Amino acid sequence: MPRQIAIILLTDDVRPLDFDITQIPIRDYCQSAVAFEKAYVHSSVNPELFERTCFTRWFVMREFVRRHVIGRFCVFDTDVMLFSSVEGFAAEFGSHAAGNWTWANAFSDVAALDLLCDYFSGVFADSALFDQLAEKIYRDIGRRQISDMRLVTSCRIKTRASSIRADFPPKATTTVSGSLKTSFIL
Amino acid sequence: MRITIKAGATSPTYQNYVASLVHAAASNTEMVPTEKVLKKTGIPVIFFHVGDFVYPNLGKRFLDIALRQAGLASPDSDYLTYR
Repeated sequence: MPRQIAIILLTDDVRPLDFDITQIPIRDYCQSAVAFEKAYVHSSVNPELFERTCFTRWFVMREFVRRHVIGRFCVFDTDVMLFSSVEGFAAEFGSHAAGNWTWANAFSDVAALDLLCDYFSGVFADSALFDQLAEKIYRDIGRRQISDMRLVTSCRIKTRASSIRADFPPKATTTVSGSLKTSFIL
Repeated sequence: MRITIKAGATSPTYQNYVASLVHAAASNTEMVPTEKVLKKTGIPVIFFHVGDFVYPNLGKRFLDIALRQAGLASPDSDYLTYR
């Protein structure tokens, strides 16, 4: 009998599914997300609700894993398909507290999630830092695009975290869009 | 708290999301574990999905495919390919 993994969906819309998924309504895990929303400033070509939700998801996830004492877990964007053992995927990040590869994330220490959320909150609470980052991003891509993806990268630089290993498996996961993103390890 | 409902963003799922935030803001109670969500061994995989306000209907199609595939990717699964 193969060992099974728990697939958890944090959602606002629990619905009937004909496969084995643990659906968790997010309404009980939104307290820190609500606090973040008060500080959020929209600076993106994406719709505000979309971009804001990209940030608040990390706060919801943090409340969820802390409440249920989940110390090691993976977080995948919903257009990421897993074609390898999740244990194998997580093992690639070794002893690092967290790692991201094309928006598939592995966490072995919730403190890394604290670091990310605190960094997000800090950026939006500090208008000078916000402008500094926006200007840097403008120089890089031609627009002041403040997204969780961009801030994750700047968080890595700020914390002097390692870059991804060059030999990371290139086909462990793939996105529906086929895009490959910059990766990080904390 | 700030809640801005934009035109085109008033689907039922979006309303659920807003209601979730309002509920969370109103309930200032300490959170206590009330259920065991991890009934399986192994590293859990978490997905987050709220609303279909960016790509109406399409988002859930992506989601369901990703969920199904993750469920198939258990160790020793016939559906996995190993290098």
